[in-house]
Amino acid sequence: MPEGVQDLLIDDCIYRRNIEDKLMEGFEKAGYMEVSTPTLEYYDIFTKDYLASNGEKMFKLIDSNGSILVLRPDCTVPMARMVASKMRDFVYPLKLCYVQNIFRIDEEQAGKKREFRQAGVEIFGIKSHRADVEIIITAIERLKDLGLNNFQIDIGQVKLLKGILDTLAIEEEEEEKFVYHIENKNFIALDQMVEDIEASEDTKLILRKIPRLFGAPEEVFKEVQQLPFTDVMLEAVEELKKVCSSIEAYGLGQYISVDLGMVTSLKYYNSIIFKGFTRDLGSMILSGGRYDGLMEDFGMECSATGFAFVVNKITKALKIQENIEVKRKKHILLLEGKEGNDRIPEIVKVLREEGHIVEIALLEDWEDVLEYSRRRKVDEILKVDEAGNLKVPEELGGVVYGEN
Amino acid sequence: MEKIKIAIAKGRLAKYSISLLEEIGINCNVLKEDNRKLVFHLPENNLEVILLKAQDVPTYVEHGVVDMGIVGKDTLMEMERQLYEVLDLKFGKCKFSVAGRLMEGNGKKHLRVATKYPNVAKKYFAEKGQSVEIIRQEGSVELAPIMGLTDVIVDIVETGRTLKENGLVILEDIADLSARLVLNKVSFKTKKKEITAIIDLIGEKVG
Repeated sequence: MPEGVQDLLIDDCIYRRNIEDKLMEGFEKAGYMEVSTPTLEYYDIFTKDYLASNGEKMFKLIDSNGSILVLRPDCTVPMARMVASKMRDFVYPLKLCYVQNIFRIDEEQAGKKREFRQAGVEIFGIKSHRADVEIIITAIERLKDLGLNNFQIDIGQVKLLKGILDTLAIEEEEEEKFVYHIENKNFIALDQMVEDIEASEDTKLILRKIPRLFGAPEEVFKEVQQLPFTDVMLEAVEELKKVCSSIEAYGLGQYISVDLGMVTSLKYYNSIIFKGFTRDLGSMILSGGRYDGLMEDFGMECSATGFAFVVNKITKALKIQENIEVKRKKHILLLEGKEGNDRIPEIVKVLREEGHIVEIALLEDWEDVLEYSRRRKVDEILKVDEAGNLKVPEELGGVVYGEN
Repeated sequence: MEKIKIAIAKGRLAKYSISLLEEIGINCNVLKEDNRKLVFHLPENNLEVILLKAQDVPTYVEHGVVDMGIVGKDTLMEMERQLYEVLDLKFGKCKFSVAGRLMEGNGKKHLRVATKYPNVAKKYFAEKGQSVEIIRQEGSVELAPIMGLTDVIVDIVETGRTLKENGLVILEDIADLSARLVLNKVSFKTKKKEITAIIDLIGEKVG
């Protein structure tokens, strides 16, 4: 098998379906409508900015007419394309949800998946912070519903760092280096770079401080008060504050933290961004944010915000927490007898309607039936007698079903 | 209190790393016992220390199986993993340099480069606009120019003695190196209190 892809055997499929069903049902109950985009997209729908940082990671194919296709590397961009081209006349806010496969080429032997599932939501057409609040609450509620423990949603604000960098007269290349060091909380390189640039002491102080400003919202916002932020930066922080206090007012404050130095490699995010994780797993389980400008690339002016869960990471976290539990159905193996078999279709129907797994035995030999039942963890072996009654076979006691 | 897992690179940095931990008040006697154990529990300090080959430290930290690591900047530059690099520990100081025989290599249209750090070498020469052919080596890279396999080498240089004894000189410096404290991106957020406490203690020591 190629690297980074995986077969899912029985239990893993049960877990995945269970988790995805719960997520999608939750989204639906919050008013999101399911949509699906194709696995293949044109390479050209992705902007230069996006391709610059992610182009190398796409699986590419050549269409018979020579155009370049890619395997869906991201859910948000195709969603934006779909909404702009087909859903302009719908009523807004447009709330959509999906669960789809993502394909990304990662360095070989790095232990990363090259195909994985994302389940997410997008809200189109709401400019105010209320849409950001709504999707973060949706994320928290879904994780609570799945029974995940110790999780945390870390919220950041792209505008803040942008506001600082825009005041600096530096080359784009240098700006990228700043972003890179802030993203990686590389305090050493950052402090060095700050020393070397021409900027006011205030700006330098902020640049040094910013990757260190993360943690509980109230503490971070208190620290911000000590810093000589400009009006643009304060406005950006104010937006973030509003989001946090709305989530707190909804009673979910314990699940959020903020990181003013949060950066994302996805260039389409332009305001509130967030990432989710649990302390039991060293990688992200969800990420999202606001991308108001992206829709313009598809010729539609429309605010938008959304996020996606990485389904396999959530499954993994639940497994680590030993928290994954799928209700087991009673498993019945039905043997055909010499007579009375005409009753079988009716009996199967009734038992299945009661919610049981009902199999008609395909094996003839009694020992084989027992071995099969043992290994498949069958709860009851039953047969139909001459009178058409459902009974436990003579070998196992012969009582009538329901009377034991 | 959450348990914190620390990965330490074996080899030239291990001794310094362990004394640094001792200096901040962690009893590391079990680490100094002469045995083949790789995982050490330090229940008093709620720590677990594991010893890894340097190249594996960034990988373990990135995947979050350990929360933090102590590893050389050379390894970090070569591996380019997603992690937080928060402190310069200031020991294990050396440089990444280009070395070769005098008068060679400069001004050549196409350079052949021997190195144990192909990624670092490739990036450095690409930035300079120099076209190169990288030949990855496992053993003593100094041999390559001597035996005529390559024009130059890219390697870490501590004192320069090995180079000198083999008739090579430093042609260019690429970067200053030293040991770094690196963190898993999620751990820094979810175990902020515990990790910040350790960073602050170490930070005070190394200034």
